[in-house]
Amino acid sequence: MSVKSKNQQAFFICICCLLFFCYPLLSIANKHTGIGPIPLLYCYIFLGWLFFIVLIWFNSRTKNRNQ
Amino acid sequence: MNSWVIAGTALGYLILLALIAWAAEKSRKRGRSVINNGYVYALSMAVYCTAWTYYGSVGRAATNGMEFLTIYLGPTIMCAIFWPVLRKIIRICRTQGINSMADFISTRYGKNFSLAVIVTICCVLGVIPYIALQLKAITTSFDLLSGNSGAGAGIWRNSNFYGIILLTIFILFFGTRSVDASERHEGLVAAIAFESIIKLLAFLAAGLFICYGIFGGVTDIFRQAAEREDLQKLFVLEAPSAYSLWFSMLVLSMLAIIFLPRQFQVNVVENLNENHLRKASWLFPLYLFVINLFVLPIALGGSLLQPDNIANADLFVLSLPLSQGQELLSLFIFVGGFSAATGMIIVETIALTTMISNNLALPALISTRSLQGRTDRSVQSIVLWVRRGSILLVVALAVLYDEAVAQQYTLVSTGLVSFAAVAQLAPAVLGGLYWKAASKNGALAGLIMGFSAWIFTLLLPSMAGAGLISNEFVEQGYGGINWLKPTALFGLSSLDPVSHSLFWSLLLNCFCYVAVSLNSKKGTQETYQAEIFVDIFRSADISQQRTAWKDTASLPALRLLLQNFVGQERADRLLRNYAQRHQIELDTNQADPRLVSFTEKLLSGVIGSASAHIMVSSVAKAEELSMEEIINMLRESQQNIELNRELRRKSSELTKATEQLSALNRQLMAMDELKDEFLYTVTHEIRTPLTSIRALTELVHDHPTMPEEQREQFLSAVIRECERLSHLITQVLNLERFESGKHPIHYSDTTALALLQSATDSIAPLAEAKSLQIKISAEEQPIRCDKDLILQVLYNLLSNAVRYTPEGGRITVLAKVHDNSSEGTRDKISRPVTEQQIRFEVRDTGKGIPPESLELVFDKFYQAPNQTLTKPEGSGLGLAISKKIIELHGGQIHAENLTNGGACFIFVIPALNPVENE
Repeated sequence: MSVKSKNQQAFFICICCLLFFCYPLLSIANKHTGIGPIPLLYCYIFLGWLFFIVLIWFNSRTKNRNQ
Repeated sequence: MNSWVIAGTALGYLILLALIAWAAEKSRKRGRSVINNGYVYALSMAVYCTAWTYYGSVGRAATNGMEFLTIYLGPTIMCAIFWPVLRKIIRICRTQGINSMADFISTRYGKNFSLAVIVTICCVLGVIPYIALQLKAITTSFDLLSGNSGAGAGIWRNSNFYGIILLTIFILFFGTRSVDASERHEGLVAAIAFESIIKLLAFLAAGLFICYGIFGGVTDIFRQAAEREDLQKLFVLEAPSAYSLWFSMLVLSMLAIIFLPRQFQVNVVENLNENHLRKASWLFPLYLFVINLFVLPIALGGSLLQPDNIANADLFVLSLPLSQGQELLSLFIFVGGFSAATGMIIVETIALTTMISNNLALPALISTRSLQGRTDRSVQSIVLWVRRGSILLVVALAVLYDEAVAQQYTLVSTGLVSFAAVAQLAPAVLGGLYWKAASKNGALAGLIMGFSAWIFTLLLPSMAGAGLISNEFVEQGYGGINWLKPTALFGLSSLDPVSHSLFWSLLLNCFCYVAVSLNSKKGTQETYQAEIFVDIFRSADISQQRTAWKDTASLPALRLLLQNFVGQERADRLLRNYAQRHQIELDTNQADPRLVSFTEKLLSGVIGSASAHIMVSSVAKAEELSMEEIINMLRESQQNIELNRELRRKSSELTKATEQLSALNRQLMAMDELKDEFLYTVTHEIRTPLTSIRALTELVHDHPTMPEEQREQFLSAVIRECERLSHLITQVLNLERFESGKHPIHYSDTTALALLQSATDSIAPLAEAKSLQIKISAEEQPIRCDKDLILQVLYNLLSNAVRYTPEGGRITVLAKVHDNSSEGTRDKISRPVTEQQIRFEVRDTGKGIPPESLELVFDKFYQAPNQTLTKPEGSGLGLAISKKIIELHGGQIHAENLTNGGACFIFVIPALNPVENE
């Protein structure tokens, strides 16, 4: 994959991450309910956070080493 | 706990840090860098987690719920683009000898001195509160642990004061070891990475103890908190401006991870290898994730156990274990917090010091000509003392701010003031990275307006809140004008103070930056620098070899200037190496322009780019290149790069084509070998009967008196050999006809059983000769096919079976309906295909076929391995012809080995082929 498209992927992940953690998507989990006793918003943020870390890891390990 | 024990622990910890730093420096001198890996780099980035994270996040979570997470989500978002953005900044700094944010902005906009000064002042103003925040955290945590209130004690009687002095000595020792500010502080980075581990472990220890030692786990805390109405609100974002504040803090923290001076120091200046960014881009967010796992549970636990102590929620992480009598654990947690605070103070102070000394103090000395004309090592000494003085100044300002203002606010509130300040650098830096039209005047206008708005909307209200200035203008507006209220500028009152300040400051900053840039004319140096910065990956080489000046400088003067700042030996070595690399003469009196540029870059690392430019200008008569010359130079260089890239692409294509040709050549050679083998087999097969025929006919010819019986025997043998010869030739011709599609197929109706019986009858004499048993299993299934050709296939398969089955063996021939349409053959000559098919199998009890040959036995010319070394048993055409015949019938043939030994040849053909001949 070319350097340019890898950089585009990085920006795409960044924008997705920003949208995920902002209104209005955030309001989906901003409710007085939870998974068991754990608040829904807490689960939403931490699970989403972990997901994006994995995504960043995946994107970083496949970068072109010849750059 | 006894104050001396705590102070002794803190002192011991500082000594341990010093030892780690010393060991790392020693290791570097031996040529083994301990920080040259992605893990240490990522841990050093964790200097982002200061006392704010350690104590302040818990305090913020206890009052505002999950809002504190924005400070860590922002950096995670930015980490996704570390590779494209931060790598570009690192590359620029490396090629331009940049060592601070002020230097970066100044260099980008034509090495403008005013910009460097403004950025430095803004950073100092913005970051001093942040350093004060760390001092406050150390003081309050120390007081809590020692049981002192701290009130009323003068600064000289405060034991923390002496801790700060020790910390300052540590920074003075490890932060000013080299005169070259762009040189890496490996010892410091190693110590910072170690501190990141300690603070993480200490915070996790606190979290685990509070959750599982005091409560029955995280879920238990959440369950108990859910029963309290006042704590339920922490589970959601409830305030009317919650989303706007959330977004503002997210943006602030996104910018802070790149623009905070200490982050610039560890992310860029201390970076040893760009590839470390790859690991740091996921490891650093993971660190943030882990350290934040227990923040909300601790805040809720503290609120449940100490509901009357919410005002001191910042210290829940320490006060909860302490309230349970866990003194040792509390001491460890204190060390963790001490780590978080000291790590930040060390790096931030060094970053600010570099900016102050390079952009304020040294230019002032240069302007008074204190540094000019000196020819000894005293210049280096002056530079180092200026740095040391700057360190003392920064620490003193932070202590003053802590005493005067920071004590009035929570840790997070103070930190947000700093975040909003450094966010003002974003337009100038990001615009400078990607927008060539951005100009010095635009950057100046943007920064001045942005910082003014920040001071007016955030800094002054915070000072008014602390009672340092009158609160009147905050409540009634500047000069009594209502729409000039700092927290509701132009009537915008719906936003919280942070969002409000961020909105106005960035709006004014960006607007002025863009508007002025579009309407101002750029100088040649600015144009040149813009090209270098924006296209750094293409023009890094240009910047190494070309300059924007036609400098005429005396080489001895230039050498002397460099010697004064970096020492004689180092200056000579650097100039010599550069001259060798670029084939420049050093024996002349006139310095090459490239040497002038190189000297300026070296001096940039020591005294900053703006000061370096001034110093070099003092010994060089520079004639600025015209804009046209600059553009032509850049165009020519970029054309060369494009040409080079095109050549590389062509070369790559050529390599690929060569590889393809080689593969084809290998294929052709393999086919040639097969052909030779076939010719050998055929000629051998032809020669054998020919030899026999010749020998027999010679015998008959030379012995006319030969008995009649013997003569007939010989002649019969001649006829047999002729038939064999004829058969071989017929096979070759048949194969050629099948392949070219010239062989007609005559369809007729018959049954599978009839075909098998006819074939086995023909082969029976041969089988009997080897005492082989032939078993038939077939149905009276009607089939329409070319009877002779299918018989030829069956005869080929049976004769092979007879040939390879040992005496006394068994051959089984069977035919049955094969009704699996999914395996049905697709007719390749567009004839209708019936679904019903007949499956024929010929099984023997021979030695089987080597697995690697199962696919190859149907290739024409194929002979079993090594057959040609002995006597070939067949022409190698029988199975190839059989395959062709089956394919002409729209069927398929393959071979497999039986599990109990022996081979099995299977072919499937449609039961009802067309009536008409095709």
